[in-house]
Amino acid sequence: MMEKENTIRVNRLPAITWHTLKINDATLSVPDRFTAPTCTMEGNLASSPVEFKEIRSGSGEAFDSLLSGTAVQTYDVVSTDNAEVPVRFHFAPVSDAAEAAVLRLVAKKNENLTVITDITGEEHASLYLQILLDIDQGATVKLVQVQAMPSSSILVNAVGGTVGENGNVELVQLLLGGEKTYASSRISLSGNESKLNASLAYLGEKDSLTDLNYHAVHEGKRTESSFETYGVLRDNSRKTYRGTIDFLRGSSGSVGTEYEDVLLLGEDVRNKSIPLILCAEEDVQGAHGASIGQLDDDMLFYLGSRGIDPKTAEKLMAKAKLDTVAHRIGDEKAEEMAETTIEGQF
Amino acid sequence: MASREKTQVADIDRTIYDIRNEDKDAYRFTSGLTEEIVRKLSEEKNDPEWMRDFRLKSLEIYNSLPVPDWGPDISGLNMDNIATYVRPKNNRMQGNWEDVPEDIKNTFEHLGIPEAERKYLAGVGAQYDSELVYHNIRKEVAEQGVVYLDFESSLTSEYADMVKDHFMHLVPPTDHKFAALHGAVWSGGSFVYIPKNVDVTIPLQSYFRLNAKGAGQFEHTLIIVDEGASLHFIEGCSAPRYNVANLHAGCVELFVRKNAKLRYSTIENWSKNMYNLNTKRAIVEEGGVMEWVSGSFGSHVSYLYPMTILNGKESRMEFTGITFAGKGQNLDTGAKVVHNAPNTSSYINTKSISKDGGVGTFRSSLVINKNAPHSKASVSCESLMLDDRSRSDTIPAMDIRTKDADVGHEAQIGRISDEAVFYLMSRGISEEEARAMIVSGFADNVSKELPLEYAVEMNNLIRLEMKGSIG
Repeated sequence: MMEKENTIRVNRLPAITWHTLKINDATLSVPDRFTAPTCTMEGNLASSPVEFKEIRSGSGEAFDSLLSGTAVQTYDVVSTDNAEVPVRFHFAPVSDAAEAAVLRLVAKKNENLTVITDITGEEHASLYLQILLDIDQGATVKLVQVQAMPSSSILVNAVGGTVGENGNVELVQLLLGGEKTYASSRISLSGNESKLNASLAYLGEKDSLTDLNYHAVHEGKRTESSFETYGVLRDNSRKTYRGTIDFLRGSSGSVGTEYEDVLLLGEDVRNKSIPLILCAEEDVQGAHGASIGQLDDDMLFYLGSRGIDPKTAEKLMAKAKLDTVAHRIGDEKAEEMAETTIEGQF
Repeated sequence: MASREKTQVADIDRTIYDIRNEDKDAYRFTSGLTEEIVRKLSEEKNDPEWMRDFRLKSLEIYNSLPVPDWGPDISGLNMDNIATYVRPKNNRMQGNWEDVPEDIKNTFEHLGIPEAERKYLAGVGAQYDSELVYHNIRKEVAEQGVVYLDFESSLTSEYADMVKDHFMHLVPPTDHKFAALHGAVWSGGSFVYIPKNVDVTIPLQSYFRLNAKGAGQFEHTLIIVDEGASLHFIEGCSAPRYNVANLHAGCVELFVRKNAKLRYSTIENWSKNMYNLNTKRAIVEEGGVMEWVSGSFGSHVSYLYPMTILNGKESRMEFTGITFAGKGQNLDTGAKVVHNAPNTSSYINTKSISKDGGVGTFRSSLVINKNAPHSKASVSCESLMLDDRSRSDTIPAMDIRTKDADVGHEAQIGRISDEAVFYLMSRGISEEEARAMIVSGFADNVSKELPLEYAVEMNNLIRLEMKGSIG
């Protein structure tokens, strides 16, 4: 039985705007108590206690405090020489449970680490996940996440990280199921020439809610961030996307780009987007673009001339958008899971 | 050797705008905002009863609403130190320029208002502090049935019912704290009515001048462009600089009827002690067109987001804006649009320049409602940072509630491109000149939307700022 619930505010914009738009943050129900995650893993956890920096996630202080102040299962993973083998976590929360876990990923100097989390589970399950990345000089972390939860489930997926000089972080996330999904990321590019490359795909259907908050903080010089987001909204689904490129003073020579592509397919969908660029440095380049709407008439005409009816064309294009990100997974097993889930949705 | 002009980033030459007149001859309310002051103002204005009640209700709303927490800091604005009503003693609004008091006349002469009226305007309203001092419309334009009245006169004119039916209906006092403030203490402004199918070929202009130290200006502008009619309305604002806060909380309500067209151009050049908390809103009916052209150069702090409600099918709006935030300025500007009918379209295109510690924020809101299928919208904003002491943010929100929409958005922030400078230098142009040319080009799409005289003024302001961008 789920415990009594309270609410906290999560996914708050780094710079807020008119309250009437109801876009500044989201309200999240949280239980009084979490249960241990139903989780299996492949790979090794850190063999000794890990010294970990204080890192904020994209969900915000309230959520971070909640997980740090509670007896939540924590998994520490540290890079090794054998970077070719990913560490895998499979989360499968059970019905009516509020499961929680913290993953702390450490990539040591000039080492690489790949972590893959797939999330399924039972109906009416909830998973509250915080993933923190500490990436040292010249190190690389690739975090792949595929969420394929049933349509009555709740996921909170809060990523935070700090990247040292010449470090890299690559996020590949596919959010393909669930009733309510709150996903976020806050990556501090603190070292010079550090890089963030984030690819996100989401599918909203029925009455689902997808609430996103992605924040790249450019602290070091010549840092680079790139966000690419592809979404498909069907039925009555709702989505809010907050994306922020944040150039702090001193981040000279940095470049940040952000692109969002949303395909609206349902009669009653609601799409909110707010792509921010915050800039306190002269010598930077920031750009964002968004394309939101239904299928292009020219594309429909072209496909029609090839004998493809509009409904089939919609499915083809929707799948193609999600596949764009699935193909960046770079792991056969995870990619197969993502492809199977996408195929099943159409 | 011929001397070369050393390029340097200079502040706008405000000599013209900084003319101050002694206000020893002014009639001035005690500073602050109380029910007593609002009642006194209502008496002073000979308000009809409904307007007095409206003011008092607005004051209640003002006291109940919070100060915005999402924009620039306005903690330096203390209403206890603001006089809500100031007017020259023995002032009466004049229809003949020669009858305007000498010192006020000289101020407007320096600002070029009478000359502009003679050359290219259909009518002029000149407000000095809280009251209109001059209002005139060309005979041939009046003969077309065009109504251009100072707002107080409109309340007792044959258009009184029309004014009452529209006053603060688009911007109700509940909209935000400073709309409520406006509802309580508004004074001055203009009422314009363009009858059906009348095409006013030359612009009307209102010019607002706030001379008094520590005062507020709260003019109300109400424009109704009836079916098939068209108008270009120009608004200019300026004030001399003082070392205490001044406040501008005007309100503009624009009604664009079926197949009508309204262009509303503003060059805002308030002094840098001004809190500019202005509200502008238009509602557009079927086939109507609303065009905004907005240049924001002055003020210490600005909150300015002209809003358009596309309420009739196939109505459209275009917003073209430029903001130049210099030393000591925090200019939060942008636009809002609501698509509320099928086949509507909107285009927001803004440029922003920040220099010398100035903060420029582009903030927008685009809402496409479910009842607005086949609507198209585009939001584009570009920002240029001229040094690393300044700040430039873009905060564009989009809320799309129908699948049958086509929305595009793009934004860029950066500095002057080294490649562009290199290219121009390879054609024999000096680095300094190349940088100045690039910034002028950056603002070109805004200046070309302005009447020639205003475009020249705006380009002069930018050129002064940009002389010598490499110092």
